[in-house]
Amino acid sequence: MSTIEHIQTSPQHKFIQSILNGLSEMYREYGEEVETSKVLYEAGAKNELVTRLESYLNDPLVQLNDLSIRVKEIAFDLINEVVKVFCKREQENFEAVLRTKSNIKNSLHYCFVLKHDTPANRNRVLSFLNSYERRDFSKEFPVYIQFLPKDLSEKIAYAERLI
Amino acid sequence: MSEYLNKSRYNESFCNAITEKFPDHFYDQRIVALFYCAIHLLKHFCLEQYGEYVGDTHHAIILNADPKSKSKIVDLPSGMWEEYYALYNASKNARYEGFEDQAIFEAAMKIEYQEARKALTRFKLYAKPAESTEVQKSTPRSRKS
Repeated sequence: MSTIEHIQTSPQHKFIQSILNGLSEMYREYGEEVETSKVLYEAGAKNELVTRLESYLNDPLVQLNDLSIRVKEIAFDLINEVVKVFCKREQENFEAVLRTKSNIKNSLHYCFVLKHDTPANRNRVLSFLNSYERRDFSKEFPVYIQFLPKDLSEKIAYAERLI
Repeated sequence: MSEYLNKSRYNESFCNAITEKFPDHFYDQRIVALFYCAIHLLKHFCLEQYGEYVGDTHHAIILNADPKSKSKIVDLPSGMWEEYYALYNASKNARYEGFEDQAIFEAAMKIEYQEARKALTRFKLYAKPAESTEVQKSTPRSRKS
């Protein structure tokens, strides 16, 4: 069995595959054009995933536990990519979107600064999160979305600015 | 009065008591109490209107009660679910322990508490048994735990 075949039949790969399928489904459900998920799934994430998993499996220093941790890191990377796609699509509504620094490693936390903080505009963001949380894997990969006013957001330590 | 209505009122009374005693503190705890007020109202509403128990966990409630869930067992008005979900999200954030700056966390919670209060008021417009005229009773179906 080749390395690629080994990866593609591994539980880790199947796990990631189920996440990818869920994220693609989420976009279809959310009304996003198919192209977005297709780009994410076929052109980018899938190939990158195989490449990265292959490098981990071929690395003699990587232990099984370590592999599991790396697979989780990849899953979080993929979820973060989906959040970015959402933010770009809705960017006219956002003053800023920050992925915050956190002392918790097993979750993603974002601060959204809305241009107009209304229940309707909050709901546009929360319906995205709600769609994510309908997926079973969301329990294992929690995503937090906190709304903040601009002045507070400017004081926050962040790992990445999405908008 | 049903068990869930009792629990809902207990949580709202708890929130009101903290607010009265400590008007500038414990916003995170108050948000959680408001959410639990909503969750018990939701359970009561679903039992009364649909004869369905919507679940023990937050994820189960999403699967069973979210109008967009493929496995939903009740047909909630979408506006009602949106208010519930806003409260759920505020409560989730109130219990988040990853904020590195406690002062910013507390300032954020103060704002979220005010929003949660408004969301609960709107949610109650749907959830109050006497005012719930938008939905029809349906026969009980299978449940997800």
